[in-house]
Amino acid sequence: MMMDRTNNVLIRIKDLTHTYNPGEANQREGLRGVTADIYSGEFLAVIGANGSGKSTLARHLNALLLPGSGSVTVDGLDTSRDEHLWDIRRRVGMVFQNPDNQLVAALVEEDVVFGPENLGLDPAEIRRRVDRALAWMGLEELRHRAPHLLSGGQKQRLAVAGVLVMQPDCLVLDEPTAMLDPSGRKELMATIKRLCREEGVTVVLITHFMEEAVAADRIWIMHQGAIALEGTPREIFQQGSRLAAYNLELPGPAELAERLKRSGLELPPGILTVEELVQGLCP
Amino acid sequence: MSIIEVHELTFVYGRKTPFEVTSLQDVSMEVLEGEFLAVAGPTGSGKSTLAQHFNGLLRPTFGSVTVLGINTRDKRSAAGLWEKVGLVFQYPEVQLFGETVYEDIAFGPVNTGAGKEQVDRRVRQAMELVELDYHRFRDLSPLALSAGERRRAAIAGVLAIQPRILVLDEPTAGLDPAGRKRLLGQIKNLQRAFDCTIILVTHNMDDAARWADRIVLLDQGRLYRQGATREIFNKPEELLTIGLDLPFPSTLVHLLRGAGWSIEKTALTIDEAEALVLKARDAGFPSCSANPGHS
Amino acid sequence: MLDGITLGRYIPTGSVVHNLDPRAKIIAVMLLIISILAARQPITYMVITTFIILVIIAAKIPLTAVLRSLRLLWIVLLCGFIFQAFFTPGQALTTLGPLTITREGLLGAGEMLWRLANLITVASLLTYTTTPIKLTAGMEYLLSPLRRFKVPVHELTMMMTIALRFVPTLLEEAQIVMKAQQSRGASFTRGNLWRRAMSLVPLLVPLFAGAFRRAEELATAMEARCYRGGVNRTRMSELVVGRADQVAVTACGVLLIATVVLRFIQV
Repeated sequence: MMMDRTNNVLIRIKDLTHTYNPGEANQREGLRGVTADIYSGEFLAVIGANGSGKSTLARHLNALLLPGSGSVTVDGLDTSRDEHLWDIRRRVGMVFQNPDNQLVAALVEEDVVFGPENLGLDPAEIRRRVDRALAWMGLEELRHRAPHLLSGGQKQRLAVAGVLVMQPDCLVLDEPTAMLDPSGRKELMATIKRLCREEGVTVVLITHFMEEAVAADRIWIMHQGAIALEGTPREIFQQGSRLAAYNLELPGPAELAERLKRSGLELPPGILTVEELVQGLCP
Repeated sequence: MSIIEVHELTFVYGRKTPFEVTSLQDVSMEVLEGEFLAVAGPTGSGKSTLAQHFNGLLRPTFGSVTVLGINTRDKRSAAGLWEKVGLVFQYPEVQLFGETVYEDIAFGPVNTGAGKEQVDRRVRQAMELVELDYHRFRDLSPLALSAGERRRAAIAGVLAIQPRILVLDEPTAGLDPAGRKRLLGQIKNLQRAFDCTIILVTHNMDDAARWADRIVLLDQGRLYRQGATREIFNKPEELLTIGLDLPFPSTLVHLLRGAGWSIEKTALTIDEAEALVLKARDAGFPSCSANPGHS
Repeated sequence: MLDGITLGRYIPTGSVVHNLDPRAKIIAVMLLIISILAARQPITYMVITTFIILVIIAAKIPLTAVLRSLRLLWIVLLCGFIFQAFFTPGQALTTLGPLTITREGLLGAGEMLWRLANLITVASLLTYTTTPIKLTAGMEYLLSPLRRFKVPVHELTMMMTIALRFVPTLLEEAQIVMKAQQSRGASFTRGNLWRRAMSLVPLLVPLFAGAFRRAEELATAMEARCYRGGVNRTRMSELVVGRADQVAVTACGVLLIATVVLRFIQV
């Protein structure tokens, strides 16, 4: 990922601010001046404590929220222009935290059908895409199941399939693993990574799990409605002490490596995983 | 001394209907007075079903559950168990119904028949325990709270009953790391300060390792293991075969052992892992025989 | 536990019946229902039941599933049967204490039992063999003449789709909230009517709040998936009436005519 990516900007965010309930007693700043680019094909993780503005930012990427000031453009299309709305929503798909509240139909397959039917595609094309999306997410066997009988991990994969079938350029996932158990979480993370690497879909993962962010190409750390830090996982997690100021914790292995170094142990820089730590301890 | 005894418990949902499902089979375990016990297992292992037996919400199909000397099959005596065994469900914030935080938290104490002053005192104390400022929050609508505050208000609603045993089903699900640590710290404090027996139902092995004295492991409705936390994590293979995660410090020890280090006791926290590595350094590091493989 | 309800669930077997056009199936079911209600002679009972059994076989629906859907309602059936058998005046067959079973009562009860069982079977056959979306698509089409009277047909059928999806989820939630409040000492069965009604507040408030929250999140998710009402929408399964559909509707039509004719000829 060392190539010059500046020509490859998919989403451009410029001086974006957002205020909830402006002019009312419960006015609250959601975003205060965010300027950043999301590159085509990258895996970007956005981390931050609750209330740091990450979900607000995510909802600007497909025009579910519109800028208070500043702008968001998706492949050159301004999200505040009405005529681009449906084009933008097709290009930037979104998966939400609660798997139960984003599935529309009473059968797995029919839920996947929902999006393409909204696009007005012709029936044969819909059939082809639905089969492909189900296969991709490993849900073929479950196509005639009722969603409420699926596990949490399966429900979230179904939600991803429902977006994938619209052939988006970008997939935004807003804390998709928050309600999953460890195996569901692993399952979903593996598919997301594969989507990015093999299908070239740009992935924006909003999360508060550091272990998930480790797998990303790039990380934004959000704090009080702004991007406080930006960099590769290694760059970010080397700044251990600064993370604490944002109410975040280092992943376990990085934390231990840092402490051991402080006690005078010699370890290679940028340890993120337990395997790397063992390698460092047993050269 | 054991405060809950579960003897050969079998529980069948929808018995004698076409949809019969056996969700617990022949489970025998005990809960000791004043301990912090984790009931852990993968999704579908029956841990939530077991938890609902502790306050008599569910009754055994076969076998018996005795809580504080009361056999839960005895309907009449078991009816009062809710005052002694507090049960916090997963995502407890959905149960909030009061117009104000105060009214909601007072619901349990009022149901115990306590007088106004006593209810008032209990609400204050419960809010203090979960660190919700009494004066700031008492008159707010639960809907005006943040997600983390709603969770804590709901838990306070159970604490205000002042149960001797507190059962929590995945209390930290969906919270961020800071909120998670804070909540479990408060619960641990409850055990220490009030001698409350804590039962934490969870699939998060990091939480179990860090906070529990003892662990009961369930798998597919059966008792898989029970023992002191360190013993359980000292045999990582047993956890991995039923699809549970190891907490990071135990994984590290597991891999280091694989690389030829001889480590007697596993580590449960980062502090312990740090101490363990530093001790090894002072002993001049064991030679690393093999390259560790991924477990 | 509530997962176990088979009534209204789709059972995929890929049979001829499954592949019928949903509109044809809805019309055929209507015809069958009228036939069942109109039938009066043992011979028509037999013909209709035989026909339904043949459809079950053609649909490759396991007989156990059909029996299960009946089993859930056996209490209703049994009560009705007893009531009819005991309380219809006529020729006495036998007496049990103060109660007398009459010949007419027994026959009437048998008829009622037959009617209910067949109605339930026909209705569940429709849902066993038709996916919810196809069902609502069929409804939408059949109701579309109502558009002329400004009835929002698309919106109504979308509501039906979503209701089918969320009923199990909401039932599950209701059960959890109920248990949670019981764990805080709530009792839903104690006291007089007023107290009982009041005791529902801790149950109903969270349920409504939860339903609204879900509705809001669902609306956002649907918007994110480019939903904008019926505008510019297509269907993956185009509704096409084929030979089999004509045959099915004709068969049910003939059955109905035969039933009606028999009823008036052979009194």
